[in-house]
Amino acid sequence: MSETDSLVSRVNPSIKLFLHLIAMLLLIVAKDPVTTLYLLAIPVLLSLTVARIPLKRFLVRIAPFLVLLATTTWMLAAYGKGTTVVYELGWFRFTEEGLSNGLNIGFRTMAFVSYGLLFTETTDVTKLVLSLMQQCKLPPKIAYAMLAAFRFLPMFKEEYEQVKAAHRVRGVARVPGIRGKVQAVLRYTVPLLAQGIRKAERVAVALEARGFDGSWNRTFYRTVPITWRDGVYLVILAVLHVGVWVLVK
Amino acid sequence: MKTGNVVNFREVMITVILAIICGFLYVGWAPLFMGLDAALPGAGDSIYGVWFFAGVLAALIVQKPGIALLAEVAAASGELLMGGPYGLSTLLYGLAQGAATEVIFLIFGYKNFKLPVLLLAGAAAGAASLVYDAFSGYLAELNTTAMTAKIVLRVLSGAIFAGLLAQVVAGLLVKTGVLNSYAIVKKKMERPF
Repeated sequence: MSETDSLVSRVNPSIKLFLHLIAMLLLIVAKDPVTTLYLLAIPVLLSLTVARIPLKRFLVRIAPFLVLLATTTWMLAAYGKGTTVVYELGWFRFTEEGLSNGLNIGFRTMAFVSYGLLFTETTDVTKLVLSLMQQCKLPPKIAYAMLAAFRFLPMFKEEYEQVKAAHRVRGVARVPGIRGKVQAVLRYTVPLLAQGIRKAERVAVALEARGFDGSWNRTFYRTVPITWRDGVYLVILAVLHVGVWVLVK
Repeated sequence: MKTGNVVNFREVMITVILAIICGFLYVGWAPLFMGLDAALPGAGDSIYGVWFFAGVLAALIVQKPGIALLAEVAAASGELLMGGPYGLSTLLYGLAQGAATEVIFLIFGYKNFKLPVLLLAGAAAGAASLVYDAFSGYLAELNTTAMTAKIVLRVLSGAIFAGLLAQVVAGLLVKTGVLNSYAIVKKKMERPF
């Protein structure tokens, strides 16, 4: 998660999260592919304009999810309900209803991904957690644990590679087949989890030693306020949704 | 020794860390699921249970209220941050699955963490994710055979990959000694026989 300097990145993270979840709820209500396609255009448009996510970056991030669009559509088209058969091939039975449903839900999934991308690309994790604590009353105990844990995320990747390398160096034999795969996953996961627990304990001790008790009896150095920008963002989203509604009516 | 039922910071911290590691692993799991699911509906569901693993594992280790829910939501947010393929709906899945896992442990008063309960918790998470799917996505639109296959396989997979696997992994972690100050080991020390 990083932050671009734009209107969307200055919207209060909790409010942004809430608004995006509502937009997703509206997507669930939409039942035909055309409406969903228009609704999908909203987060894409917002990402490229008011959120100022560079087109190239957006495309790079969204490209892998086209696979998801394809598999979802495929699954519903090939195994969906429906009576009007368009084409039959082996056990796949494509129907008109299936295709329409498939496209609808494929687009919906893409829209979910786009809202997620719009959120993660414009939100700083620290700000998000602080805002959840200040506006949504997330207990500090949980909030600070999350903050610490998020910092460790990049390290886990490294550690995973280390565990793998350590096994290879010691010549741990790789067993072929499914059994081997299961063994390998356990072999890599357990050390990773054990290391994680040790790290977590050290962090907890360090915080508690400095007087952190997880109570609400605290002040904040950084506050994440609610500003007029949140209102503007709400209005933009509302206008666009009304626009779509008028368009398909 | 009497342990209260309120979580302390250390327990929250290890729950969140374990969950985030699981979230990291889930990101690698997603493409496998999608590939299997496209080939044959239900094939993906047979490995779906891994996504409920974090909640059951953390609850089994800490054995206190709220841990399963916290773990699933934290794992989901970790997955979201790593760029998992489901966007913000990951959070909603996490919430539903965590809540279902939590309810099972609640029914047993957070006292019973034996294998049958763990299996049940995993299966419940599977059921919850199906409810979410039916509500938001593709489940209701599938034909009957595909739908039944998905339901049965996902619930079973939840029991095995979340319930059984959590038991196995927790057992291995206990052997490393890192869990000596947590309920999973402590409760055994109190009542060794």
